[in-house]
Amino acid sequence: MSLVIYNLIMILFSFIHVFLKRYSRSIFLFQNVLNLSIALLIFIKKFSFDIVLMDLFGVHLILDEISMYFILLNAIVFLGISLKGVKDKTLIFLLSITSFSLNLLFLSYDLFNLYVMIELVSLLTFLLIVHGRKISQYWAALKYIILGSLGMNLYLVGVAIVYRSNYSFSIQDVKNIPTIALSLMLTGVMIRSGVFLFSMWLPQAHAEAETVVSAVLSGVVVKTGVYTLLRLATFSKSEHIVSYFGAVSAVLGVIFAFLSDDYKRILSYHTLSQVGIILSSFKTAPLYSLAHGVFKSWLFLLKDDLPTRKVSEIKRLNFDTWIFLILASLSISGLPGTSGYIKSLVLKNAPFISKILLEVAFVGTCASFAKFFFIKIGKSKNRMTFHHIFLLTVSTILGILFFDIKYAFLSILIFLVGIFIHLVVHGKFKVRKIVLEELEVSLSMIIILTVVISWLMFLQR
Amino acid sequence: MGIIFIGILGVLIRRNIIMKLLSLDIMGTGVVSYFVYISSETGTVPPITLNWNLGNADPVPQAVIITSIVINFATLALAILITMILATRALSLDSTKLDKKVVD
Repeated sequence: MSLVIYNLIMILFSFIHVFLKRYSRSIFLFQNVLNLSIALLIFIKKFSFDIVLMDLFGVHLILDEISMYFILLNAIVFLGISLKGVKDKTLIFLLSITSFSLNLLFLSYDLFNLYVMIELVSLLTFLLIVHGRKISQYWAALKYIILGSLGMNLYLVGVAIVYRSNYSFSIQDVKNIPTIALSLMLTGVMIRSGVFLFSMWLPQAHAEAETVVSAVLSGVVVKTGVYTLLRLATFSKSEHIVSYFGAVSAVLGVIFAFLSDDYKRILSYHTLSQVGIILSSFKTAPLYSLAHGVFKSWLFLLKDDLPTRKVSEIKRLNFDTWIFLILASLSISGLPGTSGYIKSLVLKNAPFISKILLEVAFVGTCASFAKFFFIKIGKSKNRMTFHHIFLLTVSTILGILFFDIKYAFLSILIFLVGIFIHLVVHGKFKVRKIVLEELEVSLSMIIILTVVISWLMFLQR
Repeated sequence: MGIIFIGILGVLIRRNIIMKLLSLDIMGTGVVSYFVYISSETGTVPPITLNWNLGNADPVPQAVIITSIVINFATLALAILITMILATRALSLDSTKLDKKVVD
């Protein structure tokens, strides 16, 4: 309960950034240190609560194992960003509101409250994307809002049907509802969560936004959809369908990431594929989201140190940038001792068919990041890079905590195969932009997929 | 439900962004009406009473959907603002043209 009040107070407190002339950065840093320490306290002491605010039909809030991981992830990513230093005051204001709204989202536990929080975060995201005031950003944000609100309207229709049959908005009652309602809700959330084919607005929005904003978007905001899907699918016995979509998304995302040349675009396609990996096994989803958030935001923050966005034009790099780029790439490739190694747990828990698809996706990930291992080292420049060191520490700690010797050999093998594929195929094919990302195509795709999902659900019953 | 389908069709068929946003709004209105319809299933007498009878309307969906109306309003306002900026800077409101323009 006190956690909720703390978050509400902090949202109010964030308005101080509008009025302050100086010290905005240090206050932001302080806020995030506080947030991380609270998240760590919750995580270590294993606090938990389960409350319904104000009687029947009230707001249901819960703090359990799943929300803990997401809250920790939120705190880590935002601390990384504030260590890097955000210059603009408005951006700091928006970011700090976003961070605490996300905390509240990861606590909410009933269908309608989730809807409200998702819409709040998406409006904030919308403002964050357009912060750079470029035309491409405006267009990406508009696409996001059109697709997103279409999805949320579908979700609301689903919620209405649930209420009609159950007379409650609680997630536990999702078990016995008409299939159409469930499929509408799943589609609505999947548009937000970044599954390939559903959310094709994602690569453009994440690639065009400012670097700091992209880190937040890929690191945490995408996880709001994942969190909702986790909550929905565990109670409605539809894990299989979601996890197969996840596995397919993992492979397709990696293919496009491998073929593109723009640094941020590569990363955003990887977000699509990594979300697929997260969703393909529900047991480890919170843990792998934590790992993914850490290394993805790290990779996005590295973009500011690179001389250009075109990867093929980078020939030499400063030693500092080079070493961190290599470490981050190793992290996403999932070598033992890094946070990406948690993928072995995902592999252990996934169903058989997705296992094969997942291994293809892992090989693809290594192959698409192999290009960074062949960049030469240039002169060294000493710069303050606290955020890289912080994220490196977190990544290593995660890697050591969840080390499992059984899969070490397999992951090294996957890594070597990935490098081999990179050497063979490198530079022969290239994709700049795919048709699927256009607004018209993705709109019709969503309608088709809604039908497909409801058909699959019907078959399963 | 009919209104929702009209909204979806509008979003799908029209190329003009403003028409798309209008259709989204129509769809939102459809959702709201559906909630109101659900609340009227138990009866249509206003639920402002101390002694609860069978003929009263269900207050919960109505109470909840107000939030959604506000959210729809906020979203639409922001989207129309961005559309205005796009219209002045990209000189087009056609979704396919914008998709091509932004790449270059």
